[in-house]
Formats: sequence, C-alpha cells, structure tokens
Amino acid sequence: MTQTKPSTPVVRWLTTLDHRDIGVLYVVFGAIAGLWGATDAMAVRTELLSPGLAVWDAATYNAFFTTHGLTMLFFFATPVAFGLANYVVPLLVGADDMAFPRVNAVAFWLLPPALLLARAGIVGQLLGIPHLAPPTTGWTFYPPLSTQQAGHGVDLVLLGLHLSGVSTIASSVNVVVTIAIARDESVSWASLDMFSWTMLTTAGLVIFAFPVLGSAMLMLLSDRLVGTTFFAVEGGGPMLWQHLFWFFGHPEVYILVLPAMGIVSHVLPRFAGRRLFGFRSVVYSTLAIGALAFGVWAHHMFATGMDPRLRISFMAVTLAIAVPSAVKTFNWIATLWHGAIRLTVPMLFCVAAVGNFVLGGVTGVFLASIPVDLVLHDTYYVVGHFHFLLVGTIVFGLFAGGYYWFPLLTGRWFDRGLARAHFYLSAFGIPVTFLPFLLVGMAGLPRRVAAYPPEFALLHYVATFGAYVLGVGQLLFVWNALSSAVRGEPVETTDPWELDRTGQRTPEWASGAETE
Amino acid sequence: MSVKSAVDDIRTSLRDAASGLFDGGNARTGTPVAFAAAVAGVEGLVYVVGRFVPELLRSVGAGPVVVGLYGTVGIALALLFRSQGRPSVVDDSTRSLALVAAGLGFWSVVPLVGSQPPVPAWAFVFVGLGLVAFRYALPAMFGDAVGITTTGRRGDDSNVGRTAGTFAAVLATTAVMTAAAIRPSVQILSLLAAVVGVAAVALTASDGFDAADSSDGTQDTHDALNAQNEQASPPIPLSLVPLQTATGRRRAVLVGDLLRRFALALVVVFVVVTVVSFHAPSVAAFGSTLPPNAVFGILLCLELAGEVVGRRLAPRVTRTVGRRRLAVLSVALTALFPVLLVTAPAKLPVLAMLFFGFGFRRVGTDARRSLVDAAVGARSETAPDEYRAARDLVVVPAPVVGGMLFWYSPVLAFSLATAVGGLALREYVRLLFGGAPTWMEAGE
Repeated sequence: MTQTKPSTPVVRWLTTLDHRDIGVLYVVFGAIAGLWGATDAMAVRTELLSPGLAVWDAATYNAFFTTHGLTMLFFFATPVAFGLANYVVPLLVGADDMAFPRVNAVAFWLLPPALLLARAGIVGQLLGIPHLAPPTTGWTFYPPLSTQQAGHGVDLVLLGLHLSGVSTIASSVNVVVTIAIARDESVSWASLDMFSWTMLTTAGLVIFAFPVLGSAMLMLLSDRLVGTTFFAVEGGGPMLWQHLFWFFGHPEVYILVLPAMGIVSHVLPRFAGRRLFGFRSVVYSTLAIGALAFGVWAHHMFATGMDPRLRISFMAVTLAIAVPSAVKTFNWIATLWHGAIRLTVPMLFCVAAVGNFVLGGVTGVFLASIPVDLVLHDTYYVVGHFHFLLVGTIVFGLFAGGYYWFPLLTGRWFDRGLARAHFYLSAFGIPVTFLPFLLVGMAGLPRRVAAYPPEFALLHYVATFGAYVLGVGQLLFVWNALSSAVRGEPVETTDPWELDRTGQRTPEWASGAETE
Repeated sequence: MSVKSAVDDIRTSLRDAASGLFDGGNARTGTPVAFAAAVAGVEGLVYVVGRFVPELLRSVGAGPVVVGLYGTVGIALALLFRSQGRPSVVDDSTRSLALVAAGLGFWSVVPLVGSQPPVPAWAFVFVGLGLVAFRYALPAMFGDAVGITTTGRRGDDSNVGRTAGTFAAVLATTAVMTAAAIRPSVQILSLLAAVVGVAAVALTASDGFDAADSSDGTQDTHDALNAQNEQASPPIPLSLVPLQTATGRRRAVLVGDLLRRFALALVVVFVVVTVVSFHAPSVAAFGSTLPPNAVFGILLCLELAGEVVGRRLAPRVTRTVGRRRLAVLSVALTALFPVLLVTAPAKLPVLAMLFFGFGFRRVGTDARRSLVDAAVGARSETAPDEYRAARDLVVVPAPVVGGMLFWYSPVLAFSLATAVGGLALREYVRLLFGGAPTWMEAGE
C-alpha cells in the first residue's frame, strides 16, 4: 500500500497504517497501562502490610484489586503481545504488512478509549463525580454483586471491556489472515516459525472466546440498565454468568500465555546455540493447548455445587492440559542441554520464565484436583499460582521479547547494566512476593479481603517487600526503555545478537534494525 | 536583596537540578544515573523517616528517655563512623548499601513486633539505627559520573541531586502520612527505602555480571565509582585542644559553636513528638482533614524549602551583611526555634513560618563554619574536622538529657534548649563588637 508520508510526527503516529508503527504504539500503550495496573498492585500490597485497615477503606481496596486485574489482563499483557506480533509476525512470515492495515489501526485506536472507560471510575472518584466509582466486584464481575453495585462505574467498565474485546478480535482476525493468507510463498506451514504458530493459535482462541465475553457483558449490562434477568435468580441465574465468563476466562489464560511461550520458544534457542528441540512437538503442544483450553473452564467453579459428574470431566481435561505444557517445558530444557549458552538479558528472562512456569504450572496441577481445589478455592494459594504464571512466565516472556527485539524496534541498544539489574530485581521479587501467597493460602487465608488475622502479618510483609522490589525493578525498565530509545548506542548491524555465528538469524532481522 | 533576585535564585537551583538529572545521563550510561537516583532516594527517605522515628518510638510505648537515647546513639554512631574516615572502595559501598537497606528493613518490622514481650519493639529501632548508620561508611562522593554526595552532613553541601531526592522523599512521606497513621506510614516508607537500597545494590551488582552480551563499550557503574578514589578520607582523631587553648574571640566562636550544637541536640529528636503529639495540629484541605503526621510532613517540606532558599541566598547575603552578622543570624534562628515551637499556637501558618525560619538558618551555615575553621586555626588540614568530631563527642549525651527534661516537662526541655542557644548567641554577638582580628580575616 502506498502512502503519502505525513508531515509531522504527531500526524504520522495518529494516522499510521504501518504494522511496525502500530506495533510500537501497542507496546507503548501496553507499558503505560501496565504501569497503571502495577500502581494498583502496589496500593493493594501496601494495604496488606497491616492486618487492619491502615491505608485504604475496604471498598477502595476492592476497587484496587478489581482494576489491577482488569488493567493487567486486558490492557497490558494482551496489547503488548499483539504489539510485538504486529511488528514481528509480518516480517517473520514475509508479508508486506498485516493483511488489513486499516483494521489494524482501528483495532489499536479502540484501546485508548476502552482503557479510559474501564478506568473512568477512579478518575470519577478523584474528581468527585457522583455515581462514578470504580467497580469493586473483582475482574470476574460475578452477579449478583455486579448487578447490584450502584452508580455507573461498572457500566462504563463493561462498555470499555466490550470495546477492548472488539479491538482484540479485529487484531486476531488480522493475525490469522496475515499468517494463513498473506505470508510469503517461501514460508510453508512446515517452515513457519514458533512465534507465529503461537500467535496463530492465540488469535484463534480470541476469535472463539472474546465474542462470548462480549455477549455476556452486554447481557450483564442489560440486567443492570434495562432490568432483564439473564443472571438473576428468577431468570438465567448467577451460575449462567460464571459459565459464560469462564468459557472466555480460561482460554484467556492461554491467550496470554501462548505469546509468551512463543517468545521463549523463539528466543531461547538463539542464545542456546541450538535449534529448538522437538520443534514439531512444540507446535502440536501449542495446538493441543488451544483445543483443550475450551474444555476446562468449569474448574474455576468446582466449589459452586455443580454436578459431580461434570466436575470430574473438567478435572480430567484440566489434568490433561498439563501434558502439552510439560512437553514445552521439556523441550525448552532439552534445548538448553549441551547448548552454547549465552546469558544475555533476553536469555536470562527466558530461563527465569521457564523456572517460574514450572512453579506456576505444578501448583496449578494440584488445583485441578477437585478435593484439593475445594480446600484451596478462593484462597491466596490460587493467587500465588496464577501470579507465578501471569508475572513469572508471561511478563518475563514479554520482557524477553522486548529486550530481544529492542534493537529492531528502536534501532538502539538498551543499557545492559540497567537491564540486568531489572532482571535481578524481578527474578528476586517473583518468589519473594508469590511464595508467601502459596503459604498463607495453604493456611486457609481467603483472597480479596482487605483485613486479615495478625498471624499472617509476617508473610504478608514479606510478600509486600517482594512486590515493592518488583515495582522498583519495573521503574528501572521504564527508565532504561525511555532513555535508551532516545540516547542508546545506535545499532549498526543487521545481526545485533550475532546469530549468524550459529546460523540462527531469523527473517525479522533480514531487513536490518531501524537506524537513524 | 529583592524578591525578584531571590526568585531567580530559586529558579536557577531548580534548573540546575533538572539539568543535573538529564545531563548526568547524557554523557554516560543509564546505570550510574539510576544508581545516583537510587542513592538519592535512600538518602532522602532515611532523612525523612529518621525525623519521624521518634514519634514511632513514642507510639510503640517508648518513653522520652528512650527517644532521647535514639538521638544520642545516632550522634555517637555518626561520630564513630566519621572518626574512622571514609572509604572509596566500591565493594564497601555495595556492602554498606546492603546494610543500610537491612537497617531500614528493621525499622519496617517494628509495627509487626508491636509491644509483645520479651523484646520491646523499640529495640528493633535501635538495631535498625545501627545498620542505617553504615550510610556514613559510604564514600563521601560517588564520583563525577554519578554526581551525588552521601555524606549525611546535610548542611555541608548544596548537592542538587540530593536536595531533589530529599524533596521527593518529603513529598512522598507527606502523601503517605495523609493516608495512614504513624506506624503503618513509617513501615511503608522505611520498607520502600529498603527496597530502593536493594535496587542500588542490584545496580552495582549488575555491571559485575559477566554476561555474553555484545560489548557496548560504555562506562559502567563500577568505573564511575572507582573514578573518585581521591574521595577517600583518613580517620579523624578527636581533639578539643583548640577549645582548651583558644582565648578571646577565638574561644567565643568555639564555645558558641559547641553550645549551639548542644542546644539543638537537646530537643531535635523531640520536634516531631512536639508537633504531632503535643500540638497535634490538623488541617482541612480538599474536603478532608490532614492528620498531625501529615502536617509535620508539610512542615518538613517548608523546612527544606527554607534550607534551599537559605543556601542559595547565602553567598549574596554574605557579601552584603558580612560573615559575622550572618553567623549571628543563623545562631539566633537556631536558638529561638525551640521555645517558639513549644509555645506556638497549633496553627499551620504559625508553624509553617517557624519551620521555614528554622530551615533558613542554613543561610549562615557556611559563614559560621568558616568562622569556626578560622578560630581552630591552620595547625593541620584536618584540624577543623578533628575539632568538630571532639565537639560532637561532648554533644553525645545531650539528647538523653533532653529526654529527661522532656519527660518532666516539654516546655522546660525546649525552653532550656533556647537558653543554651541564647548563651551560644551571646558568644557570637561578641564577634560583632570591634574590628575583625587577623585570624578571622584570613578566612574571608
């Protein structure tokens, strides 16, 4: 597509259809949202330093953990993954651009208003706007809590999430068509790279999962505003919401984790000096996860009193999904075996992501078991389990990709010292924050409660210490990214990671890094 | 001096701070800049949290004597480290930073300990204080590349990076104090400071890591730190000889200096207790009420602002009114502060003026120091430092004495501090009469 070059940088960034520009916009947007969501997390952890209500009242605490979850899942992790995909996938598959550049741009520009709608409650609270408080329902919006919360905060969040869903679906359609139709003739299915495979699977999951969420949200909105009874006891019942939500919600976990797994599969072999061990089995495991992801949603509902026969089937599928996950882990470790390992910053994040995935994955296997889940349901154990995955695996995977492709995206090097300090603080912060979650959870402490018995104070203190370390570490990343993008050492080669030495340079580097 | 020129001075200092922040990174990698920011953050938070710790002690059941002991141990530790000299070795810096972070960690667990026997919570404060004191073992200056002093002697320099760090810390403190009571607030802030210290340690460690990254050829933190080996200082022997042998107005300067320092040390740790628990002012703002802790944070902001303004104006005022008059003004502000504070009405404007004036005493710090240096004489290059170390040794018991007085009556303690300060002022006022002697002119 031929375009007239816009005259000013502002107009250029507002009107760009170039997949690389939109990729950068996604990543920057995701980073901003991530910082916002991290602020929520710090607020939550700060409150939990004291057993009583020391800093925020209970409603504010509830709002913080709700907006933390929503922001991180919908506006940080997903946009960053799709941003990297936007930039890299067309280069990897030999496409000129994404298949539908205008749809691509529209998909991105739906996100800022979606974020503002989703976060309108906190803005309203700060400005003292009546009837506009942030939601306090948790990111799952379970009725009747979500149908009964007064004001319009919940309504705006539902609209914002609906908008972000439309955006994500549009992006996913683009990814699927780009990989399936617009790729270069020289790139066959057999030679498609691992990151593109995982993004293809992710996009497929989005296309099937997000419309369900969008529909459910409109139904919930209708219950709130029009008086319908989709999720009222006298109508469809609250359980209907849980089924619809988790039919989206569990695939969402894989929508988030598959891109990170793809990045690890793509980056780790570059610095192990070996090809990915068992490439084909990794592809099959990705597709298997994609398929099984839709058969496990009710394991989030084991404690709801659902039919035991149904529970057992979901338990079986949940346990089964551990198999392809383990295949991936085995393949990553086998790739490292006897490799010529270079511990670059992206590699450090990859290795740590694998380690955290083992911790997060194994703790999840226990939760798949119905009797264990009934004991641990809705405790901090669950929070610890999924944070090892969401932060320890997914965010680490995204950081690995971010550092690996930083020279490609910016044409400059990042600061190595800052990046390593960022890694040390993050790798230290993860277990220090989330292992105490597992411990207090096993001791029976429920999640989502602002106050707790004093005997848990020490473990919560340790967790908050770890969270602060994580938070300060991310500030180093932000400073590094900003200062290096402007003042970093220019990249003067098309092979900045010296991948040619092991014959592992991939097509995204073929055109060379952006240089000034 | 016109208001316009004062405003220009402030504007210049802000511009310096901003350009220091950005230019510092222009020629160098981001790691030393981030390290400088982390050290400035730790320094600032240690200073601010340290100002609140006496109130924390009180809130966990410690009496005025224990609070005074906190001040005494603090002075003694500073003296101990200073008398041993300053290292400039990077490894020592990393270890010292780690110990400082650990000390802050001890402060942050105080609310967890509560008042449970057998170990009282305030004991943790003292363990933390012992570790936090390792900040005095940090190199005095982290190199040109990093561009930040860590001396802990706040009046001795006008390092913009550290001033900016302290301002940021005070503002953060005020914000936290607005939301929470003293114990959770100190816990949050000291934990945050500990984490920033951990980040500084991670930054020094990150460059030593032998990763296989492509070399970028840029300077790392270790290089930047090692570039300033000359910043190491030798151990300082304690010597009160100048005080014992001086006569006339030399003696007046040194006695006045000792009394001024003693007066300040008597009550300085009780300033926060007096404001928060004695006056307990609360201020309505933005539809909510700021608790006394937050008000004290605001007052610290104003004190710091007074310091900055005072330091910026000092050279010009010295040229206009002379060193001796300026020193007298500074001592007068120091001497009057205690009695005015303890008798002032609990109204923000009054307290604000008091704290701004107390900070503004820094306008005469350099003048007073140069007079002391001149009075000590040029027996050796380190003679003034030797004298100051010995002077501080005399001052060590002052906070405990202040604690005993405060226990009897806060008004008595603060009034007595002003009385001692008045004696110091009397000594300095003697300098105003008659011409300047030769030894004094030498320092001009």
